[in-house]
Amino acid sequence: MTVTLTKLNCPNCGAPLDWDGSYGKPVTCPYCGSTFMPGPTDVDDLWLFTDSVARARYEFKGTLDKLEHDIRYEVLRGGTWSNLDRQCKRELERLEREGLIRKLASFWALSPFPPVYRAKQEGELNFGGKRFRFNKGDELVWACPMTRDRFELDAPILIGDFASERVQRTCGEMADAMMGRMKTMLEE
Amino acid sequence: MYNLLKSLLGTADFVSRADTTADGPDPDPNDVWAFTDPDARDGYARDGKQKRLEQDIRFEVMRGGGWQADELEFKSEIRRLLREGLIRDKGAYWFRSPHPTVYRAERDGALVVTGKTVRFRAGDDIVFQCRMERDQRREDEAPVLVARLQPTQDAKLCSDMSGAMKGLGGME
Repeated sequence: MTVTLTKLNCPNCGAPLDWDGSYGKPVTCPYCGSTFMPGPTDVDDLWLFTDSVARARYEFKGTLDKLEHDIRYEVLRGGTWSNLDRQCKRELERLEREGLIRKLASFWALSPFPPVYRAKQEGELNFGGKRFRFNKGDELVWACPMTRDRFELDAPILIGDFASERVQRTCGEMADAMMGRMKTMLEE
Repeated sequence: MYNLLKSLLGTADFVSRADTTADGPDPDPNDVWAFTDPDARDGYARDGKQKRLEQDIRFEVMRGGGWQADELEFKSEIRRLLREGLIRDKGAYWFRSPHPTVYRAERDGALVVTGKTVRFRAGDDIVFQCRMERDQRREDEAPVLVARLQPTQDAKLCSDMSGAMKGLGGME
């Protein structure tokens, strides 16, 4: 039987743990020795940053549970959205309401697959005590934690001219792909 | 810019069928087939793929909501042009879903959508453009393309368009 190990952090000491993804089975932390029972994280809106079309694709294929699991444990790492994430979303919604940006018929190719916007005129987002300027024609997207890590972003917003992507990947698949690439580089 | 020519076009058996007719009702914002040529839909049904097409239109084209005001306005304008005899069914449909009917201009004219006037010349092809098609052109344009379309054999779903997903390049 194939067991997919999923990363979790120990609620007592914060150490990374390997978990087989099963609820109702105790997990013992090899670092501090504490034992706990993993359960579904209480997130008020798991789909807060997921474009409805991306979600519908998983529903159509009957694999929505796979995406839900990915968002809960790979994107959110068992936690919830940060205040900065929520502020960023509110700012994007404000700009859309005011007609400065519009939602494109596209979504980000990496889970949780947030919608992509395009600026109709220049303006700025203001959240977390910082201002983020954009010009007419720029594309904007809320940046997930993995994108933030990868591109060393201080805030959860990406502004630029994005490329078209052919492959839709979950955060977990992307992590595996990046690990595979690192392994290849080390072997060379 | 491509269209699929209907197989019976040019034969005695060809029957004109289009997504909009001169005596049709006002467009329904929730009609998933409002911009689909009946022959395109039948083609998917024959291949057992109508459900897949419907899902593509409902979510990838309509984005899980209804047709937008400018899209419905375009359909009403097509009905007016058909009534006035300025355009006719070309016997072809757009190669990407929702596979709208392509119309051929009989005379010079114009259509107006959200206050924008789009002019055409006799012999031009006129076809509906979904949001993703318009996004790729980058400007806020009316949901219409006026061009001389080339024939193709390949029908594509909206979800297969390169603009359906964005990233920073090399994310795969």
